[in-house]
Amino acid sequence: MTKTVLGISAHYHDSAAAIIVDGELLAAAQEERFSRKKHDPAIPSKAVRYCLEAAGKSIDQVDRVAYYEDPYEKLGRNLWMLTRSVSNANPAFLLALDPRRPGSDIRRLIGYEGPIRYYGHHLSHAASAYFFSGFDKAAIMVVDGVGEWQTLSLYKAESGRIQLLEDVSFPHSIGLLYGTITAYLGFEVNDGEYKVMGLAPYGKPHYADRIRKLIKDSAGGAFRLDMSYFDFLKNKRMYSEKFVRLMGRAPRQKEAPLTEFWMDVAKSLQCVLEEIILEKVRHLHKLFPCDNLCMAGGVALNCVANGRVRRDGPFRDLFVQPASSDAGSSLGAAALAYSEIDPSWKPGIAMDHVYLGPSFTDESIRDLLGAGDCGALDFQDSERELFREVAATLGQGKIIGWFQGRMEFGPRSLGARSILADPRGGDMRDRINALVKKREAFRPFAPAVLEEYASEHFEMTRPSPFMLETCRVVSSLDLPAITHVDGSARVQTVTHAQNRKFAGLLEAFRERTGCPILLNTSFNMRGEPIVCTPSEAILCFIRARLDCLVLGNFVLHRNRIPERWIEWFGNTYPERFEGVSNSVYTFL
Amino acid sequence: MVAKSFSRTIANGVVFLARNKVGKSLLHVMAKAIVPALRLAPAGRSSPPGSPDSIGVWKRDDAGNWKRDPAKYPEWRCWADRPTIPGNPGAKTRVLLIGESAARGYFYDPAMTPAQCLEKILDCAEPGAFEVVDLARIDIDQFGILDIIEKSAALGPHIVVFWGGNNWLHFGEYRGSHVSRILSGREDIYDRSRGIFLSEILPATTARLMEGLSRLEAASGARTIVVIPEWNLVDWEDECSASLPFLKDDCHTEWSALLETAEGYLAEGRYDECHATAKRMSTLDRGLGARSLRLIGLSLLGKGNMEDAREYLEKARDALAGIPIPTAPRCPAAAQQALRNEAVRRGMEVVDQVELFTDGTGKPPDGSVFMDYCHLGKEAIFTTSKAIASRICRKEGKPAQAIKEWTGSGMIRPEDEAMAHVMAAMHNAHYGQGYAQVLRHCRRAVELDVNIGAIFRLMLDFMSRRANRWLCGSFAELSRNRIANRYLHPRNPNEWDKFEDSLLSRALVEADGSGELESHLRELLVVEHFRPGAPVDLLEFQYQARTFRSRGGFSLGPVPAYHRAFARNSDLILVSNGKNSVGIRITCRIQGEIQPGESLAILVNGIVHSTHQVGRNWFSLDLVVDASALRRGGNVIRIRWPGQRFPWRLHLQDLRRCLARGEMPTSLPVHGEIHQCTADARRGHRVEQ
Repeated sequence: MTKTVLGISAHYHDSAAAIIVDGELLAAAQEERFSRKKHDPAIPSKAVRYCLEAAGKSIDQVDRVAYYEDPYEKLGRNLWMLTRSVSNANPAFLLALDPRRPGSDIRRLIGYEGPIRYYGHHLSHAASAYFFSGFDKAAIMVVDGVGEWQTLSLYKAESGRIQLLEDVSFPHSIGLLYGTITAYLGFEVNDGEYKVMGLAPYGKPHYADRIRKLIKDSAGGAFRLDMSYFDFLKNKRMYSEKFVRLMGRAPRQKEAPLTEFWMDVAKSLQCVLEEIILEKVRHLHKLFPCDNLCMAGGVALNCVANGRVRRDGPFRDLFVQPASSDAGSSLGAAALAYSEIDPSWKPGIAMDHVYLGPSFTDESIRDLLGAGDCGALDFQDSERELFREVAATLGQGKIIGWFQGRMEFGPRSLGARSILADPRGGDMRDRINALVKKREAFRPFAPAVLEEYASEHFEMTRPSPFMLETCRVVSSLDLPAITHVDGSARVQTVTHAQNRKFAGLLEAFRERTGCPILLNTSFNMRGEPIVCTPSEAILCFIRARLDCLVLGNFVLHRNRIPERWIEWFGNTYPERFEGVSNSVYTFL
Repeated sequence: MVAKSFSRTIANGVVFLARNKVGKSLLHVMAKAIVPALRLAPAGRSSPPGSPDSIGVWKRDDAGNWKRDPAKYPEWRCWADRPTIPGNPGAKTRVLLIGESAARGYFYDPAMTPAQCLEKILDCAEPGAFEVVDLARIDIDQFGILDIIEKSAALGPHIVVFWGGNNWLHFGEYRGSHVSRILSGREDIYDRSRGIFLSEILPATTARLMEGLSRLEAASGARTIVVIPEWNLVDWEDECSASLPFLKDDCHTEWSALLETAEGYLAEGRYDECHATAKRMSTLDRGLGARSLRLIGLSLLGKGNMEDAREYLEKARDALAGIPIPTAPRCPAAAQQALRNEAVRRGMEVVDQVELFTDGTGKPPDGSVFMDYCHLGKEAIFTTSKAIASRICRKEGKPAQAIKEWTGSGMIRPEDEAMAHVMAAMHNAHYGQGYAQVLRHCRRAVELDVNIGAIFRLMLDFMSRRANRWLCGSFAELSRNRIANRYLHPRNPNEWDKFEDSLLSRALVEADGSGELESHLRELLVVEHFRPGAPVDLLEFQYQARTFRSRGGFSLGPVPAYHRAFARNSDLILVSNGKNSVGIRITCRIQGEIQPGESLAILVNGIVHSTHQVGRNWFSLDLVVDASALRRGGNVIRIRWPGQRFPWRLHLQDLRRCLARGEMPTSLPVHGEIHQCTADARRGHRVEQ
């Protein structure tokens, strides 16, 4: 008898849905991709519809819905926050106290009538890493801003069973420490943390000691902040006046110039973060000595720290859940529920791709493009010719939108919804940052490389299919567009088995240029979720002034598309919706 | 440290309690205490309050002239198509027109607008003496209008014409204290909500705007003329599914039966019977049913009782004000009266369209005046513009004789007027108007322009394709016409697109009359939508959503993951090649309590295919529709929901829960819900030809 479980994360940072049928993860997607609201926290009704459709299931065939959080535990933390500051007593905060809301929304808005199971936020994160790691026995570390109460938790797992070893409770949070300094640096909390990581290599750790002062105790599994430096409990801003005095400079205003001071602060923070993470990992290894470590939670997206954990940590092998943010918890909750209804289910082979989202057939793309005269080139008969054409375009220094197969789950574009370019161009990074993505100039881009050539160009000993670790660039090629200022890169390795078409393109580019590497960045503009559908890709192609768009086996060159498209959309931007606050961590 | 631990213990204690009954009551009390602080919807603002150097899409340059701001390009289409407004009007008398889409000349814009007419008329009165600056915007609410008023002194107006009031049914004006009062009793929630809106909120909105105009007068020395908007009382029909909120006496079945009877009487011209039946309906719905009131009004109209007819038709128009059911824009009597009172109190002139559009017989205005609900037809724009011009001339001491003689000849070319009617046909269709209203505009377009058939063909093309319309070559071609480009501008291209357009398509084909379009449409549908290799999701907008409101789920609250039927019938369009049988899978349920002997029926092109028992839990139906029941092209799969009682008690619970969360409730009874409906030609038995 078929068993179907739907996992849901919602009402916090990134809502998402995932579906497991007969032990197989068939689909997963974030709601923001459908609603077009970045970080959409709403109950993921569109993502659920997609998951059901992809799995060929109707709602009455779902055996269980798994929710990624315990709303009553979260109520406790929110009530406690009320006792810390009455300024939290605004209607939005108070309304979010209702612990029945997730359940009632699943009934009302998803329409689900069967049993609902609730799992702890960190447990869901832990399961999202463990059950898809391929490890039978592993230690698990979850680090984020905060779930219900937990901010850091250490688990052991074996034969499908996960057990908590130690944890750290709110408000003492590594994630919120990082978020606080993100805010101080003038970036968006809940969104700009990875910018801090990108800025860090420009600086020196001159302020590490000051940042260490923010931490009262971090020995072993402990972690305590000196709360006099933080204001986030008042839900107004992240840092206190005392913090500003400690740093000796007023907070940076958004879009203000990034001088040496800000770079040094970012570097100092990154150094301290890495120290703490390594310390916790070593402690975890003492608690549960084994070969394997799984990591999840927002902080696990810090690929520089992940690289340190792999290089300098005590574990032999590391698996980081590619969808480490709250979206990925839908996977974990689904896995936990599935393991309950089928106790014989255990982690099988490791997750080797995240192509779990919607796909579009060549037929549907042809219908779209055939509705007007957009000059699309049709390569349905010859994929090889497609690769050659696109490689030639890339070789001319053009920037392309690459839309193929199923959309990625998680924050990274990994060759299904990507913007690609030649990494060898001296000005390519600036061009893409300024003209295409319209974002800060300092931000680096990541390389995608054919796995068999990876070690020739990057100091890496094992595949990195999810772009979750950094390593040194050791290539004989000059790769300025993907080499960060400290000589590092956040590499994605690509194989034909994982992504046949992306690998085919990389191969064609290598044949043409001798370079098996492409610059790979997400297919979106600033403030917009990654594109999901072909029409969104075309729109982004027009707005971001990309030179070329590859949709399945069709190619559009900018100079051949209808002038009307450029007239209508050339000077427009995606509508911006912010699902979560940008000035203070969203605790609700 | 001790305090922190203590407070955490307390918090955890409450959580412990919250998991049981006592704690739930505690949470309930807390939620109730929160309500007074709520806002039901964010107070809207069409543009953020900016510097006084920016008005609408225009920005003041160093020379003091106002240039259209490229950064606001996406918004240009909402305003007058005017690149520059001179900073200084020179010797001319500057007239500012501030208003909403009716003042914009929606459908005719930019080929002809009220501002252009007004300037032309004033030019007849005294050549070169006046300049009209058009600041009317489509899609603007009271917050946006106030923003424009507040900034307009910078344009140095001598006269301000204020023409607004149709877009003020905004829930951003509700406060938690209103919600508390609405929830204060068990019954008559909607009645109280409407009462508060009409007697308190709307007058306060009006007063705030008029106060803004007074400040503008004080700052600029300008004088104001207020245009009171009128509405298409006779011919505009609210979407049938949105005409009656949930009734507290579980009397929907009885009410629906009476409705069918009353409409039959009206069609037969039996006005007395219609009147009596509609009165019974109105008793059942306690005045909340727009259709009951409207049927009373129409039967009185049929009997020649114009005065009473107007009263009921106005009541029908205003029936849903303040009730969270999305409707077409309108200016309720309360707003009209508040505008009159405030204008008189502040010594402002008034152009009252209610008087202007009531003919000698006292008959309320109809489709001969309006293109839709509130947007004026050509002649009505002329009439209003002349009335405004007369007031201006009177104020300025200019001769008004030429105004009376002005006919509007040459203001708009026939082909542009034809295009305006084509766009109106589309708008009427997407606002749920009946076939006759849609066809009327299509036919008028044919009368005005013998070559309009080519336009019809382009429309059928982009309406019928699977691709977003902005991707269609036909759309690009049509948008070369400036009227079409304005109305059909892609806007947010992911949001404002596909509809189930079979009614509009039929009207275009019939008005064209050539017969050729019909077969063209049929073949296009088959090529685009018949997918023998994959299931087709019949819940996609293109197969089920005829109107803007149905796309939004007839709700101002969150839209669920499934389709909700707010009418007794759910019609889904299935495109067939006429040769293949088709397998249909439907997952559905009902919300109400099923009446004895009732069942769910599936009809294919009007013929009953099968009946099924249905309950309040999801169940899936697998049907095979034989090829012989399907025709080539579009077919209607109708799900006829069983007759049900809709328990008020459950609705009240839901309503309170939503309001206590600051969420908009769904205020219409739900006849059925569909989670999945797919058609798969592979699952049908192939019939060889």
